[in-house]
Amino acid sequence: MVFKGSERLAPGELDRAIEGRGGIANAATGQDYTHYYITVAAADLADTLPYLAEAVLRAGIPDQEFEREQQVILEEIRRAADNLEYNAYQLLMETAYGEDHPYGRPVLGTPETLRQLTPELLRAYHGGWYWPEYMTVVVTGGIDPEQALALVEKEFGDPASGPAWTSPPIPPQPRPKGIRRGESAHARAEQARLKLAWPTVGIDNWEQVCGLEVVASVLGDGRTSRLVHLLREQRGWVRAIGCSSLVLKEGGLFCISAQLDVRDLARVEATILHEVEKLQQDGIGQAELDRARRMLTHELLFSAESPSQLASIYGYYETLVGVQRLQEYLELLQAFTPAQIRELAQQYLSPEAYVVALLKPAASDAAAASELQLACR
Amino acid sequence: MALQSGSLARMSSTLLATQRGRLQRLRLANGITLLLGQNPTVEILAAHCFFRGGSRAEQPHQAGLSHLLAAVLTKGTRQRSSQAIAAWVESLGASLSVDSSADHFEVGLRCVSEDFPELLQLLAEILRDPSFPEAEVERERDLMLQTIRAQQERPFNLALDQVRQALYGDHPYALPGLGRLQTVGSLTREDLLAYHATYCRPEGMVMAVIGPEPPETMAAQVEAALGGWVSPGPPAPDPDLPLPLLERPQLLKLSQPTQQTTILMGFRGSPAASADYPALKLLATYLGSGLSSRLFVELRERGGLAYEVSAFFATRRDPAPFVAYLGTAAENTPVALERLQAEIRRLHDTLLSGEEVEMAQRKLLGQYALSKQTNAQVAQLAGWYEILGLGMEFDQQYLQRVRQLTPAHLHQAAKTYLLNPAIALVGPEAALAKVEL
Repeated sequence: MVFKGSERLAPGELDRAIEGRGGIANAATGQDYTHYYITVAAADLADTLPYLAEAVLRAGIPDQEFEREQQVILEEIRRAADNLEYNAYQLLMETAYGEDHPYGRPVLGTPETLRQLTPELLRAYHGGWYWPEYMTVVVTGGIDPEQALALVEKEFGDPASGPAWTSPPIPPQPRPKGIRRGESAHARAEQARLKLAWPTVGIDNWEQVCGLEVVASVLGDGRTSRLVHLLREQRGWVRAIGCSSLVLKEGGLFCISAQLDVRDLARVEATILHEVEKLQQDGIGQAELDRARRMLTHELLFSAESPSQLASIYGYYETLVGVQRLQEYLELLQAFTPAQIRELAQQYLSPEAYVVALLKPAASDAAAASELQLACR
Repeated sequence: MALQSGSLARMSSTLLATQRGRLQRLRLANGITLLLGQNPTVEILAAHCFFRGGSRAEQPHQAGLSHLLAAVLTKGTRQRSSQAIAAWVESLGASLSVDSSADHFEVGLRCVSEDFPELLQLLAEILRDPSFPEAEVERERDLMLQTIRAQQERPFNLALDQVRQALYGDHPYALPGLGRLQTVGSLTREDLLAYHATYCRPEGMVMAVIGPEPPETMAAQVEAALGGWVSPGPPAPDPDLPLPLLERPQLLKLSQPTQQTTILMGFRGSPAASADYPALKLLATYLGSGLSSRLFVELRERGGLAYEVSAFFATRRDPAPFVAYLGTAAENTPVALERLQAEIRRLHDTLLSGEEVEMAQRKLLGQYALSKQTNAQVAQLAGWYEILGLGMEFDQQYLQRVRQLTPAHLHQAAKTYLLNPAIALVGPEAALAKVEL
């Protein structure tokens, strides 16, 4: 709704102003923050930033646009429901966090929660949250930093605000006592999605957060990583497997995800656990650590090549932990020892207590699949 | 190697620097065309090698062969195993990828510049002496069969697949790059060896390299690694491929238990070398690119009919698909299709205003510039134009032609190409039953 204009900005005016200069405008919302962004030629900064500031700070959230946007979001929810990766991810989040925790609920909402929203509620949320002290503005590119700073101060210096928004308290991250399984069947699935996850730490535990990136790289990043090598390259039991440490403010997840045929489910889960235990017992070698270190450093380098990528990275860090943590991350990568990585695996990846999310093809799917192949020849 | 904060700060000037730098073209004695560009603002080097071939060169019964080659090419050489190759690349924190597309296949490398000479040795080995180990071929073929099945999970793929078949008949563009279960199932190591010998050769190969070193330095490095590679035998013939006549609109329905109906409308446009290519690109931008595009504003912002609605026109050697699509609630299927058809009719019946065309031009030019920010993006685009036979200069010629387009040009292009669509509907049976042409 922020793109639907303000008192001084008609709906669509920002889009035309940015795109009419050859730029890009968009927004995205995740669990911990929302960001709005434009990418334009550096020379157009002074002419375009005022539109972004006006839209974000003084969003009108007009009544007459609200119902139609509800329809659009409803389409977004339906589209997501037809997407199997989204379904698997949502199943993992529900199973790992439960519905009492905000991370356990879909960022998109559900048709039911969407229907309960009103323009008044959105205006109150906007007025109570979109305050300067909660906001980070990042400008990168071929700019003069002092001019850009002056421009940001001018455009963002005078935000309208309402009474503070009070969110309900966030319960502590649930920790499974044993193995907690969430399963669902999907009529259109050809293959299963298997996710094994362990609750980790909040983002304030920066050293652990960074160390878990190394653990994830050792287990599942690249063809020589342990799980990819064994399960995809050697045995061919999975079509794809990867490992990631999901970093969230109130407590993240260490997650191993695989896509595979149903017949291989049991042995793949058992092998993953076996590899995790092996990592805990035998640790990792220096060469393996060097590889992970180099890959992670270069991945950051490669992912920050364009100004818009760099702005996303700076904004993410500053919003959640402070931008100085970026440098700390790079330094920590160099400082970790094999023993520390092993200890992290021992501390967080218990083979007795973890979360499983399993999305399976519906049992009746065998017949449907062969029909489908006929239909598309 | 430690990354200092300074190197992150330096990256912000990449955009300007790479746009300013002009690429140089060099021909090696063995027929390799080298495109070289210097971008001293980053330590990153991107190198992309292009070969003619791709899906377009496949026999119908071998559909998917080029894709399988891409999957297995880095899985072993006469000197090294798959794991040894991956260990070499990953220990340097580099990435090496092979991709097959409609008209070519390419090998892409990204690394820090100081590792380039070493990785070039590996690259040369992979291009010249791949061993296609039997076990690797079998495994990748099995996983490809799984991937083909998994592709059917996406309604968009099911819709596009039907439209491609309707527009292209016996032409290879009719098939997905992955091929079909039947064709992939019968591919062998011998097929790969033959395909490699025919298409993976220095003569006609294009290699684009963008990095921080001077072009002479990078050229010498490439020459040292690949200069001694000699083409085995004569090049493959390059036959003209037949296209079916499109005489009337076609409606294709595939019922699926989905929440949304995917509506995809496809036309057969022009080849990239055609004078009409820029006009069709601009029409696709006008219709479907960004938040201010015609389809986005009319069908989403005013109509509330969709979340995703878009259009694209591909860049191909032969006439390329022009596609508009959206996903809509099952009950809105008839009205959304009617609105989409009305937007195409409007392009036939009325001349766009000068203002509308200028807006689309600015958008296309700006977004084109934004798509060339990283070294890899610059290398990929220049090499692609070169392998398509357009030459890397097409980059600027194309922009020049886009600037010169008028409403009359777009009207002419719409009347010539946006005819006899193939329309695919993928969604719940009850919703599809209500729709006829």
